[in-house]
This record gives sequence, structure tokens and C-alpha cells, in this order.
Amino acid sequence: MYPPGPPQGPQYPQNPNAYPQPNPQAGLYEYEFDALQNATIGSAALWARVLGATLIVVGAASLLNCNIVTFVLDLVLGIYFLGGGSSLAAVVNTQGNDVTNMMQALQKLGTAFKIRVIATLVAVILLFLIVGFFVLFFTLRAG
Amino acid sequence: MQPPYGYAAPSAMGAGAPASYEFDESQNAVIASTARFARLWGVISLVTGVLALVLGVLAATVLAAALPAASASGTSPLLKPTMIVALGISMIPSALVSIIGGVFYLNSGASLQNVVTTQGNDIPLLMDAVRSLSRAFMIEAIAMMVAFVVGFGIGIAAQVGGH
Repeated sequence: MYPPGPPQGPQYPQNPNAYPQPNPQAGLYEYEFDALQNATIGSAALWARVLGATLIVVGAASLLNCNIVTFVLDLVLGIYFLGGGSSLAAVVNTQGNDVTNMMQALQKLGTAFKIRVIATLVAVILLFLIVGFFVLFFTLRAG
Repeated sequence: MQPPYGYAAPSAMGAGAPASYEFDESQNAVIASTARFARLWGVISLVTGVLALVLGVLAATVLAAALPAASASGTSPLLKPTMIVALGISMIPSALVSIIGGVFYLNSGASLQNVVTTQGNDIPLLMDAVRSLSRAFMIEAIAMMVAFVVGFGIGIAAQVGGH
């Protein structure tokens, strides 16, 4: 029957961590990523945090040009990327909550992508509106 | 019998050995949402990259070649060919970064979508997605840092040159 119980050590002598581990809080067995998978996740955690920090620095620098919109956008994106990176790092550094932490990371990164997509679409629509306005303005003026 | 999600599915090899992990419905919903927006961002990044590349190449070659004649005839005295070439060339690296990043975002989105739509390979597919995301983040972060430093340097040089 499901769910299966925790694996017995002798069956998986080479890679004991890559199987469900007990989650004492939930009383369930949650997947635990192995060392190789943790290395991949750790790399993603590092670069997500570097990207988040870079976005915040670049956003802060845009204040020098009084560009408030870019500052706010980069700050929010940076916070979400930092959060996603921290959740990914928690997958590597903790035990018993790997899947939960991974889901939190994906949720935060997904929100960052969503904000980027929406901001880009709004920018494109605004660009078309502004270009359309100028075309209309000069057409009427010429006519 | 359909195995429940959110647990390790039993292996056909027997002895209750867990062969793989299947994400449950709520986890699949989170993964599907991230997959959708990763792919959308990948498409946007790819399209803007291709547009910027075409514009950059056009500016650096066709426009730069056409402008001297136009300037000589007095139709566009404000446009300097060297500025157009510099602008075009500066667009090409950022366009390439955008295209490469877009491909990695698209790959990660496709892998995440496969986590939701397939069974038996959720963890390897998730690792593929994480690997692609990691590369996309790395490329984007390094490109952003280089652009920031170069932009800052040009700004300072312009300030110093102006005084």
C-alpha cells in the first residue's frame, strides 16, 4: 500500500539520502535530494541570489537618473530572486523539508517571472500608445 | 491502482523500493505556474534579443553606410555615423545575452512543464529545469554586472570629459 515506508539502509548503500526521509513535523516522508542534486540546486541558489543582489544595486543606481519606476521594479524583482535563492539554499542546507523549500523557491521565482512578463507587456503597450499618439499628432498637424 | 502523489512511487522491482518521486496536485500547480511564466519570459527574452540583434547589425552596417551620404547632402546634419555604429555595436552583446538567456528560460519552462505532464521522471526533470535556470541566472547576472560597470565607467568618463 501507499505511501511506502522509509527505505532500509542495505537496499541503497550508495545513495541513502536520495530517497524519502522522515519529516518529523508532518509525520510524513518527504523526498531528500542527494549530494549531486544538492550541488545543482546550490549553484542555482547562488546565482539567483547574485542576480537578486545585482538587480537591487542596478535599481538603486537608476535613482541617480531619477528613474523611480526602474528602481521599484528592480527592487521588487531583486527581493523575489533573493527569496527564491534563499529557499533553494534551504533545500541544500536543511533536511526533512526539501520538497516544501523547493516549492517555495519555485513560487518566488515564478512570481519574479510573472512580474517581468507583466512589466514588459505594459511597457510594450505604453510604447505603442506613445508612438501612436505621436503619429496621430503629426498626421493631424500636417493635415 | 493509481499511486498517490507527493510520495515516492513504488518500484516494479519489488520490495517496496521507491523508484521515483511524484509531486502532488498542489505542487504540480506551483510548478505549472512557474513553467508558464518561465516560458513566457523566455519567449519575450528571445524575441527582444532577436529584434535588438537585427537593429544592432542594421545600425552598424546599413545605417552607418547610408548616413555619410545623407550628412553630405545636408538632410541629417545631427546624426553622426560614428554614434550610430557605436550604438549598433553596443546592442549586439546585450542582444546575444538576451537570446541565450531566453533559450535557457525556455528550456527550464519546458522541463518544468514535463514534470507536471509526465510521470516517473519528476526529479530528473526538475533537476534539468534547475540546471537551466541556474545557467540563465548566471548569464543574466554576469551580463548585468558587466553592463553596469561599463555604463558607470562611460558615465564617469563623460562627466570628466565634459569639465
